[in-house]
Amino acid sequence: MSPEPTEARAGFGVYVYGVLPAKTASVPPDLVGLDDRHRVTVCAHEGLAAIVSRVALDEFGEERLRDNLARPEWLEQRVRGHERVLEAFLEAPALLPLRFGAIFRGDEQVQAMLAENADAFAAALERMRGRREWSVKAFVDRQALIEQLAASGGAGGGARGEGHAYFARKQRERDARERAHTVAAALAEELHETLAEAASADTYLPARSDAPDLVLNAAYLVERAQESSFLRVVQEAARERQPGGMRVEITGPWPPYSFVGRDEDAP
Amino acid sequence: MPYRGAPPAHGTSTNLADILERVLDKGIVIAGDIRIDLLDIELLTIKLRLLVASVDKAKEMGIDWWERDGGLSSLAESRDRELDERLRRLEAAAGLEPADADADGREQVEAPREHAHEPGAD
Repeated sequence: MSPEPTEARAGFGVYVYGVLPAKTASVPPDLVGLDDRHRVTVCAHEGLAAIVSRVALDEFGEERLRDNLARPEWLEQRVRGHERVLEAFLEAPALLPLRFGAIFRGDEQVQAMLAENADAFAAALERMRGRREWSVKAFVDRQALIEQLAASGGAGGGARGEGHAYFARKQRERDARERAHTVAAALAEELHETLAEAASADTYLPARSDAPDLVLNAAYLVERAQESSFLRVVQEAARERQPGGMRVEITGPWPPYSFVGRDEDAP
Repeated sequence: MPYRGAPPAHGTSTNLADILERVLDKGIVIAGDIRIDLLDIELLTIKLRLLVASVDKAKEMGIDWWERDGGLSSLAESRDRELDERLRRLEAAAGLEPADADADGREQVEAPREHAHEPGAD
């Protein structure tokens, strides 16, 4: 079956997931896009290929898209789909993931976009060549840390009576809470520095309001040739910190979202 | 220590928050022919994270009426003040312009009406 052309047709647009060098763009034949009635294909212009698929405008057209973006289950499925498609290209030598939502009227418009941004894409592809993103999170049981710090604050009261002991303990707990915050931040920073040394680039990701035990959320850009040694560094770091109550998790490889920047020129 | 080897096959087992923070907040930004208000996406990321946590928690408690409900539009009528308040605090912390709840007719992302709307551990 020949690949479906994603040309401008009434009722359909072209969704763009990412960009990579045209000669390395190899699409798995059974890979479907966000609209699962349409397969993923590439739309090329000179040396660049956009990873695309057809999407229905009654879902992705401007008005409907706004409404749909507010529906969490719709958004979750489409966001997962965007990532799923890009993951099929993780073996390519270089890959530039786009942010969600780049939709064009047809192939011509996609090619025009590639032409307009050719230099920036080429530069970004060069920076990403042979590199993939890895995500590391570290967790510390904050409550346990607070208790440890409070306990090590020393015994209070004693000869001066139970009332004094009570207030002294309360003060230790307040101090411990503050110190736990500082200690957790220091632990996170120290781990991040250790891992960053083993990577080509690194960046922090946002803290999570729903996960107070998460002390480090970071991404690392790692050369393919260095991946096993990076993973060993992470495993070793995790092993060293585990007795102290820190849990380290790594996921990957990811397309290098965190390193392609908000504009194509940013590293 | 879990990590995904190649070839990746994450499906629903991969943490949604990890995907959201990349697909909606990172990557190269290209303006297509269909206009998406990008700031809305950032706000939606926050709302969605909260809602995902809330929905999971609600489901744990056996509350899933919205799955049987004909449409989510009925949620637009109700305002979950606590969720809005959390959202405003987060937006302020993130340095984002707070969305005007009345003027923004698109703000339909609401927590289920039952009490399970505090996200995760607090």
